Amino acid sequence: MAPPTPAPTPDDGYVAFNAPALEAERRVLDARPERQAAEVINAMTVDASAFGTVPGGSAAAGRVSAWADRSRTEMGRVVAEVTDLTGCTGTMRDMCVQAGADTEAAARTGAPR
Amino acid sequence: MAGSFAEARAQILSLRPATLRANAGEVRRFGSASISAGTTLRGSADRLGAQRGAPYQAYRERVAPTAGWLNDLGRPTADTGSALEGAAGAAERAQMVLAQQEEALARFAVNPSTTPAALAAAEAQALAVLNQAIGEVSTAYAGILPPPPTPAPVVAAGPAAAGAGTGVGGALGGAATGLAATLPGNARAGAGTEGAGSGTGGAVAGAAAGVAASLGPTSGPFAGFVQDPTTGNLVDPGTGRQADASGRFLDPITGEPFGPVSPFVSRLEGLEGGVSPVGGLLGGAPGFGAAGLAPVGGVGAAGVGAGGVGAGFFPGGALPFLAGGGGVGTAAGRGRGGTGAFAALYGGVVPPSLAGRNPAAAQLRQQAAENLGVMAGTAQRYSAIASGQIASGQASPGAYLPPMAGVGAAGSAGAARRGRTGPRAAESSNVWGATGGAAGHPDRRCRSSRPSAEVEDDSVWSAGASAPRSLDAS
Repeated sequence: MAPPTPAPTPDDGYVAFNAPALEAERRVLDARPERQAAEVINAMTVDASAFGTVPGGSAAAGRVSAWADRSRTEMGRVVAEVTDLTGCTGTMRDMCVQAGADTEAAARTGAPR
Repeated sequence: MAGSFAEARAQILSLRPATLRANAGEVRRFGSASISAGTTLRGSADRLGAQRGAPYQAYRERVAPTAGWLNDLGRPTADTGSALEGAAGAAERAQMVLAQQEEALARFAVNPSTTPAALAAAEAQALAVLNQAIGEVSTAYAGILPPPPTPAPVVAAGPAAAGAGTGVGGALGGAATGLAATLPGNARAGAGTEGAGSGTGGAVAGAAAGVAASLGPTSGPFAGFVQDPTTGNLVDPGTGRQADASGRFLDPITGEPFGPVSPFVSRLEGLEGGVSPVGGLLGGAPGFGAAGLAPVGGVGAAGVGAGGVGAGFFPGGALPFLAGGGGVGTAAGRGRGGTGAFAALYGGVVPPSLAGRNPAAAQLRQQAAENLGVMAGTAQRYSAIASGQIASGQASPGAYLPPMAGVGAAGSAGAARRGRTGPRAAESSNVWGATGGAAGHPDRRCRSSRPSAEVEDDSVWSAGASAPRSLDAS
């Protein structure tokens, strides 16, 4: 990956066409870092009977179960987010590659496309 | 609070601590995986965000909150996992307490001198102990308070339907457009990308973590031993031997790892005090109140434990009757023999409390055998309870009577000697086996004097005992 250029503040309108950096992060996202967490929480089953008939057991089971359900829902959204990010990052990479090529061509021919 | 012993027993038997522990592990794994994911995403956001240009900043602004949300799951999941493990531990301890109480009640019940009233009183005392254990489980349950996760800060609307296309939407899409705008003549701005389906499907890693009770080591020199959840000591269900975490056997009298002989335990004086230094399964096991050895404290509870009742031996003074020398009634036959039987039991080493030559040697051996028997019986009961071999449907009144042979996680070893007070220092293990023709063996003569409650078919107790309790070595 090319060394990063310092991010200017405020935005000066300059954009680096760093396709390799984008591709590297796309690969990171494509490896689905969130998948393991999603799989663990999806696999978790809260067996209320394991808490027994001891007072407070069923309430505790309910709390854990509700937490697991909610966590599953949110992790599903995170999975969707990473999926979307992966696609977007790939798109940006493609755009950078194309933009670099276009810029090069314009510089060579003096005819911006 | 349970109103009867049977009810308390049913409540404790309904617990499945192994499942709770498995849930705790899942929660912890989820937390760890979330932190790992958050760290990865955070690194990605930082790396790309360091690039020059608004689109990269947009990427960071979108990814960083999600990464932070994942990281923030770490603490609450760790807390929840700990709370679940705490509940599992409390449940295990409750089941051990139940095993202790049932073993004690069983021994008390078969004592010929035990009256129904005394038994009822003992059961009431046991109920108080069980209720305390149940209360601790309830308290542990009250501590399980997993905070509901906040909504994940995501831009994507939600789980994408499989095959649904998504454009370069959201902040990044806008950023991409901005990027494109900077590119002279770039006609590809806003090109759509095909959305991928949600990635949550597929094989489930780590699913169904084992919920079978792992009561102790499954290999090594202590394979088959049961771990006492209250002390962490390992107990052999077959013989009652105990070993501590370092792997050293514990003296059956003092509960201390083998070491220099202590004069405290090898002389009569100093044995008073009632509470045995033996910890572990009995949490203050029957001390030396048995057999008239330092009878202290008088009667522990009115009407309970007729016949030589010592002081309270359980925490809170419950079940003082356990100190009664009655046990199952075979103690008389235990004082015989030398220390060789114990040496054989402990790999050739005589426990320090039994090694010295003193006037109380016979009583000490008898007491050691009694202690071992109690621990073995308790370990067998706990093993059966924790492994689910005793269902909660099995209710009193026979709940604490000696269970059937074969019950116990230690297999054949655990099945042995059920209903007896422990290894007999002078008896050959094959006395009860199918050796037949044992007539004339000295121990046989004792059988006629055994209480009828103990008379049993020898073959029931002789099946395949494989534990190395060669008590006949002497």
